[in-house]
Amino acid sequence: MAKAVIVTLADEVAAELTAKSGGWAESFEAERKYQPKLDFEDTDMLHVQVFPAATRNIGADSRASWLHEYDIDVLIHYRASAKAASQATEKFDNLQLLVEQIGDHYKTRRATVSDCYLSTSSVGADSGLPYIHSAIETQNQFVSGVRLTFRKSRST
Amino acid sequence: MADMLADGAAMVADSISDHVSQTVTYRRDTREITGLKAARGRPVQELDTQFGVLRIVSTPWFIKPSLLVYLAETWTPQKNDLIVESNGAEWQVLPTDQEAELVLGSFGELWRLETKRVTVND
Repeated sequence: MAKAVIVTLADEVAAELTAKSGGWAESFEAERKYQPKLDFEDTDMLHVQVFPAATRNIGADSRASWLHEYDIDVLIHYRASAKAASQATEKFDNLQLLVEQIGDHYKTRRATVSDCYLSTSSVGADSGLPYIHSAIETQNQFVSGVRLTFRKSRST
Repeated sequence: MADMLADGAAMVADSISDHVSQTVTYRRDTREITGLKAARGRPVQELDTQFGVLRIVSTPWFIKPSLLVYLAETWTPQKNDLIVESNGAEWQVLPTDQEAELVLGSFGELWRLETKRVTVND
């Protein structure tokens, strides 16, 4: 069954991340979601969620095609146990490394996914934060992510 | 003359502790207080949407300070303490908009602990 480009992209990113799972700082199975949603109780294990974040038509690419951009977000959640809490330094270090590894993986490969090329990738939370500091304080939780922006020229 | 307000606050605290509480275990690191009477407030579901949607169940717990004693040591509630219900559900003291505070007017008759559920009941 045909799928929208952005859905195909999210599927392929999730599959690629999972396939390489043994090569990351932490093992995981990426889940493709329409809405990245978790229950707090479930965040005591690492969750990596991939979802379509945004799509834009950024202008004419030629007389016959338009250039589209697709943002795919990869979110990472992990909550340390009450015993380790916000001092779960070793685990959080690994997760920060994982975020960097995912960003580097796509930057160095300039991956072509679903006939789209990677335009930019940004690592961490908004405003340049490597992770959400307040989540560590209030939830003992490491929360970060990677945004992958792909471009594709389409005739429609 | 007796302080009627203080007496009233103490009576309310006793009533809450005696009649609307359940028996829980209060855990800190490897130490725990068993058979503790604690009253659970109304659970509230929060949605944290700053990065995806995180569904959190928060609730206040009320405990008399005189019961929060480990061996001979009186404990002040701390972040990351755990309240464990008899069915296995765990509630972790985490700072939300309020940290643990003594409530019931200015008489300090009850601890109010803001917690988040970290393990559902079996």
